[in-house]
Amino acid sequence: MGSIDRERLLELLYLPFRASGERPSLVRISRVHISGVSYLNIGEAGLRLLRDISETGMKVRVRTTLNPGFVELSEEGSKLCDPLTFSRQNEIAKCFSKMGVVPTFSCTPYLEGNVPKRGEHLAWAESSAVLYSNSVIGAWTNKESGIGALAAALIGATSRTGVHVPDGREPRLRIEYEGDVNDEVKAGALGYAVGEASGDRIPFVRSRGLLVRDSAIEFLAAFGTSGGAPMAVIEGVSPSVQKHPRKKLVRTTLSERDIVRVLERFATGNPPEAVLIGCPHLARVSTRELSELRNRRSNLPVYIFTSRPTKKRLARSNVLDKLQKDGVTVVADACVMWCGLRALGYRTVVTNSVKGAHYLRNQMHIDAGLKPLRELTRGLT
Amino acid sequence: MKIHRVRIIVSGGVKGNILKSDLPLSFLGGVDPETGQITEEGHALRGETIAGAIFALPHSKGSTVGSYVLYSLATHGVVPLAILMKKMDMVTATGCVLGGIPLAIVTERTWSGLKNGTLAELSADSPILKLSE
Repeated sequence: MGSIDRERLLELLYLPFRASGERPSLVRISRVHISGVSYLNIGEAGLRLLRDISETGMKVRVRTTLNPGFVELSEEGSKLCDPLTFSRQNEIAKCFSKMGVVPTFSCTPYLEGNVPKRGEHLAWAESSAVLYSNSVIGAWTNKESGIGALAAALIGATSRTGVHVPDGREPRLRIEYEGDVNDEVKAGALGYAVGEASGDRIPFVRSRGLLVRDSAIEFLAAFGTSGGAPMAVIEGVSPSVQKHPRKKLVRTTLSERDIVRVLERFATGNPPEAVLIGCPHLARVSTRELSELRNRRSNLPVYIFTSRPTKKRLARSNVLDKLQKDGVTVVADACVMWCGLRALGYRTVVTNSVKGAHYLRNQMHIDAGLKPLRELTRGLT
Repeated sequence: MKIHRVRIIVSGGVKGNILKSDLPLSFLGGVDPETGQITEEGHALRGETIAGAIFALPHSKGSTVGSYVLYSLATHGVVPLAILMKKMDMVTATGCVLGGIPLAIVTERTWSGLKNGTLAELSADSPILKLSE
């Protein structure tokens, strides 16, 4: 009892077949991305498991990267976190490193650090990255649990089920949206509404408003928050999309009113005390956006959540100091579910991410409102 | 003893008394990871322990971290003897594999026959659950 070995990890991969009674079948994978990294999330019980696995000496077989944690693992970061949480998060990182995992602490591995190609089989956790890989890149991955992804990394394969099988990638309903998608918050709200309408089914999405690649990130992150499917087929975005899905699909139509209904749920009782940007991680921040943030017409402090390489790039070009002087803090290694928000005592914040607002409310009990970046930089309360 | 067919997810032969939860339970926050005591607010079995019982629940609910709680029970030596469920869920199944806890899925009919305190025996090498009458 309580001892982990290769047999047990293999048994995890066989679980879907134990339930259905089919003969177990595995598929070789080329990349893994692991969630369940944050101490906030996995706690002592999760740390104990990771410690036990790392002590077996097993190593990952394929390139494996990590989701963000709860703190920035730097001297700066330690000042905004209680010492116990900081040291536990550090220990979690060490356990993963010992297994050969690359500690990227980023939720956008598909942009930087672990970029899959079309047709590759993956074992990814982190729903937003799973959705992007399947729906935009055309790689194949189920929504793995954190431990499921780790087991797959240590074995080098995962269960051949769900979207690893061609039939599992077929959309099961059709959703048409008739309104505009002219900013990232609307894209997120649409994703949230589509997720709710889809349940566990893969939707075929046709949007008259433009859903481009960057708004697709927010759309898919929100879809993965309210819906269960690992993939959405988006016309004009997803590769190799059949113009007309093979089967006749049940059709649902969404309008601007459905978007407004989602946004109303994220209304806050009080004015915001801080601006949070970067859920999913802001990995490709433009100079224009940064200068807009520095010159914003509000005194609210701004926090940008991004990967360590992006933060380093900003430091090298001396932008980091300028940002800091203008009240813009760049946080690496963590996501908006960040220890510092507690340390700083924020109760109401505003963000441009529907996914971020959802989890801030539900897991951190912070009231989170929504505004697109454009409005956050121009006059706001 | 009456014989019931079950679907084995994690195998293991055990014999013990049933502790039945009529409602789903979240292992994270609902069970003390070091003692096995049920701590969920308002749960009918609050204060009881799943350690050493054949724990029957329809399915789990809530966080996927629930798997780690089951593993934690194993590291503290306070696991249930086995878990019987009406519906397979990956959180519980993952936790049972990690913690080496036998797990079986039972039919609706078997489920309705499960009563607190009933003596039950899960077979190690066949998909059979025996219940005392």
